[in-house]
Amino acid sequence: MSTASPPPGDDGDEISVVIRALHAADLRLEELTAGEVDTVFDREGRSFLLQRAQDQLRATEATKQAAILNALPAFIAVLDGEGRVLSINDMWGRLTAGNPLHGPAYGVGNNYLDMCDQERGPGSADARRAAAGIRSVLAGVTENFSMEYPCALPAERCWFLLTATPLAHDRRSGAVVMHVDVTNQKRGEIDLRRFAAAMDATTDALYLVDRPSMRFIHVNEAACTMQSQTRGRLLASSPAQVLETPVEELAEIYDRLIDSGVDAKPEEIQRHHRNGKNVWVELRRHAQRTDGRWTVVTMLRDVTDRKEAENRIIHLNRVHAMLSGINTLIVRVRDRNELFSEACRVATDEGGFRMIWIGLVDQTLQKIIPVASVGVRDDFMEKIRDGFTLQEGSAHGNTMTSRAVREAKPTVANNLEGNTGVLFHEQHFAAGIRSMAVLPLIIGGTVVGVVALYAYETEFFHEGEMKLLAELTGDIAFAIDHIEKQERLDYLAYYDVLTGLANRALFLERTAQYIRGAASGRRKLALFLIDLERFKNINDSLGRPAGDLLLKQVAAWLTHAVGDANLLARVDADHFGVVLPDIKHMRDVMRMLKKTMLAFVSHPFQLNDAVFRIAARVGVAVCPNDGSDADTLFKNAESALKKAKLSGDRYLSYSQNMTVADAGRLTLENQLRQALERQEFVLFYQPKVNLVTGEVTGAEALLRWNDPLTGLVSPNRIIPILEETGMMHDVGRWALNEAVASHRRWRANGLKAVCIAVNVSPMQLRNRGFVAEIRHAIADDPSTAAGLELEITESLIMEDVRASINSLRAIRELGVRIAIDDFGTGFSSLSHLARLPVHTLKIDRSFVIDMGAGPEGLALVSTIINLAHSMKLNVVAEGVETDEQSRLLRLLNCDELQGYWFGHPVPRDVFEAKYLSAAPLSQ
Amino acid sequence: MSRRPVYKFRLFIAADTLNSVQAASNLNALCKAHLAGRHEIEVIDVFKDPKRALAQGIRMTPTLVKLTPGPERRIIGSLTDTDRVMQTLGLDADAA
Repeated sequence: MSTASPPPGDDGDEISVVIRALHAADLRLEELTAGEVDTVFDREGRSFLLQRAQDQLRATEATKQAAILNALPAFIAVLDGEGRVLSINDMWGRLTAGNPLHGPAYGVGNNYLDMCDQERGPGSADARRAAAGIRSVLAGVTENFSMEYPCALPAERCWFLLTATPLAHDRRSGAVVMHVDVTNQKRGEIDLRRFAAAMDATTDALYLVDRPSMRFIHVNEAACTMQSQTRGRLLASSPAQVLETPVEELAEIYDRLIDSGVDAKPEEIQRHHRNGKNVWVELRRHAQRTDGRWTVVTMLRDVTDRKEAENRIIHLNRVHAMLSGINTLIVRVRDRNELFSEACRVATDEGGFRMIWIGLVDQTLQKIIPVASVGVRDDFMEKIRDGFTLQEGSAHGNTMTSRAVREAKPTVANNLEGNTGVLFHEQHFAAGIRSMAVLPLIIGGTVVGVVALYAYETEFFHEGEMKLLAELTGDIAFAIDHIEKQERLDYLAYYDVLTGLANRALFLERTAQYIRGAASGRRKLALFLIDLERFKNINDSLGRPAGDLLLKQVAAWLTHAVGDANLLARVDADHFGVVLPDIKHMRDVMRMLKKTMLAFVSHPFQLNDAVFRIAARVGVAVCPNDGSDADTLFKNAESALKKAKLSGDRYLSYSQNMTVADAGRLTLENQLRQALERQEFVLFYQPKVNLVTGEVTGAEALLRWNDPLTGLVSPNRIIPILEETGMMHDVGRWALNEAVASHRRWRANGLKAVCIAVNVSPMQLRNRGFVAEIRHAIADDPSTAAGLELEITESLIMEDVRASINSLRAIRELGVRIAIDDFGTGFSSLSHLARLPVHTLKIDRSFVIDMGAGPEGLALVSTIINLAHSMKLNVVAEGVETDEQSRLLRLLNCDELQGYWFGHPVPRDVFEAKYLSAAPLSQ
Repeated sequence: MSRRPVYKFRLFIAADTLNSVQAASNLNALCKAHLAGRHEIEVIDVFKDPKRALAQGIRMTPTLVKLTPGPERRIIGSLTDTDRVMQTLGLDADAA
């Protein structure tokens, strides 16, 4: 309304006139334009809106505006330039409980600004702020104004956005005030902020990836820290790159996760951190659907500390298990090698180590020699077998092993990857080894060896582990020391310190072991006890040091002779023991013993610059014959030795199966060998007498051994041995020469030189040189030859008649007489007998004995005598012991007789005195 | 073969008044039926742009001005009588 206009009422008539004219004009215009036109203009451009169009336009505008305002989801009011409410939409009129800035109270016609200023209560500050803002818009100071304000309700908190927009830009005609309920949006924002804050508050790295685009849509602070990037850069980068997984693979993992409908199980993975350390990360994934799109939340939690703690516990547990295993071992094991190899086994089995070796320091070579290992590759073992040189500056001089020895401190390499300081690190790495430690074994401050441990894991050897391992190596060192001391004690308990040989206890133990072995192998075993003769004398006369020296020399000699010190022992002051665990024939053993003892007695032992020959006696016991346990065997060998001392035998066997005679025979054999040298053999002479004249007509030379200890030994005992051993050659030759010598002596001394008969053994007869020996003995002297007769048994001749005949002929041609000895026992045929070039036939004593028993015996002797006489042979009866026998033989025309009835065999001087010097003895 | 001419129209209206809205509607229907693809229509609200109406000598709304093809023709009204409009604009021959 223009203030220049006159007040209404004054020109009332004029107004009526004008309106009437306007209506008339309007009607005229309608007529002119046939209702087809809405506006008309005059030439100056002044427009006139026809009444009908005006009414229609007004109605349309109002409806349109109301519709628009009511259609908007907002509380809208139109204010005039003063802030009065001109119009409101439907929503404005509705009551919004608790809102201080709109509602029915703020109806049309009220001054909105004044009402806001007057507002009291919780929202008064917001109300005044709103009024100020709207005022500035109405005044044209600001283009528009907006503010958010809360609306506190008992149940919930709402938020509104107030905007004030001028009605027109060019003049202050009023403003539209609009309140929009932004509670949901605000809540969303708050939620989002809270969510982001919550995400940032967690130390786990969170990555939200939009599956369709495979782009990050959100990452939290921890993710930025983990990647050392700003949020902006991180969001812009590719998830595949950040999560270290190829994009196709990542997409596949996401799809599987989405399809499965459940969260994936957490995985623990090791990743290389930027700072160069490896970190353990726990990875979880969760898929969620938001607004029709799948988002995958990946959570990475740094579990390095936990994992390391877990690993520490696992490692420590393993080392504890190993420590416990080795301590058990130390209590049990008595042997150093077993300790080492078992310790290695425990380290790999209980400790879970990849490889271990134990080496000992060789101080003289300045090397470490490996003594036990498990899991060591051939190529590496090849390299270390000859030992690590410990010398500084040498090829292996600065290895961890060498340093551990030199510095007496453990050396550790907790990561072998690319660690050039470790020998063979590439090979170790390829073999799965990631860390290693070398610990010294220290006894009494000296490094005696090392334990080298190799683990599958990196960072295995930390403080806790090393402390336990140091304890462990300390225990092993203690065990080594303990075993060494034990060995020393064992040595003292089981060894003779002077000679270094086993003592009696160990000897018995070993013998028991050998017996078990021999029994299972069904073999025999012999135990010898050796007594040194005159040892006490040596000790007394030369002093104990000399005695000790002798014992040492004897021990060395025996060790050499036996060939194995383990079979030997010094069982008493001057007694040695030998055990032969695997023998086949006792006879072989005895032969060997004999030989050995001969060598022993002739060995020159040196004492105080003088040579001593030491005799010894031996007692033998054989398992199982003489006992099946070590103690019994030893006891029986002792008893055999005692017996040998008493009997004077060099060695005696305590035998249950082997007769004492057999043992004696061996002794005898041994003695007989010496008897010849020592001229202990003698010839005894037994007279032959002529039955008709009663004259002594001959003598049979009989071999005797004059044992210096026991006296004369019967020829029955010695002849078989001489035959078996071949000594008969020598003894026979001696006897022949001795007989010839006697005959010569008798002739030379003017005694009656009767013919001497010498027995010929089979061995002599078979000897090709026998005839030559005879010839040599008689020296082609016919008178000597005539004084010699060789007695050959019938059985010997019959063994090989043809050869015998030839030999006998050759002998006979020498002028030597031949007698068939033991006639009647040899089953000779008469045809053979007739062809034999012999002179005499000697009837065996068995016939002479049987002769008195009955007519058959007498007939037999008579027949033999007649037969011999028919072949022109001289007949001699042997073994004549009684007067009756001699009378019968005389009746039967026997030529000569020999036997105790007439005379025993006597030494030569006795024979000479008794039968050769004086006139014939009459019976 | 001669190119068929493009019809350029200028329609003067007065806001949302009944005849103006009617004229705009009828013109659109006519062009769609007879001048498909060869017409341009410029609508001018005389309340918003009174100077152009004055410059063109427009005395009433709605007024349709055919600018091309010549000669220029003017039709006042709601364009309800299609035959007369076609005839006035010279479209009857052209459209045949």
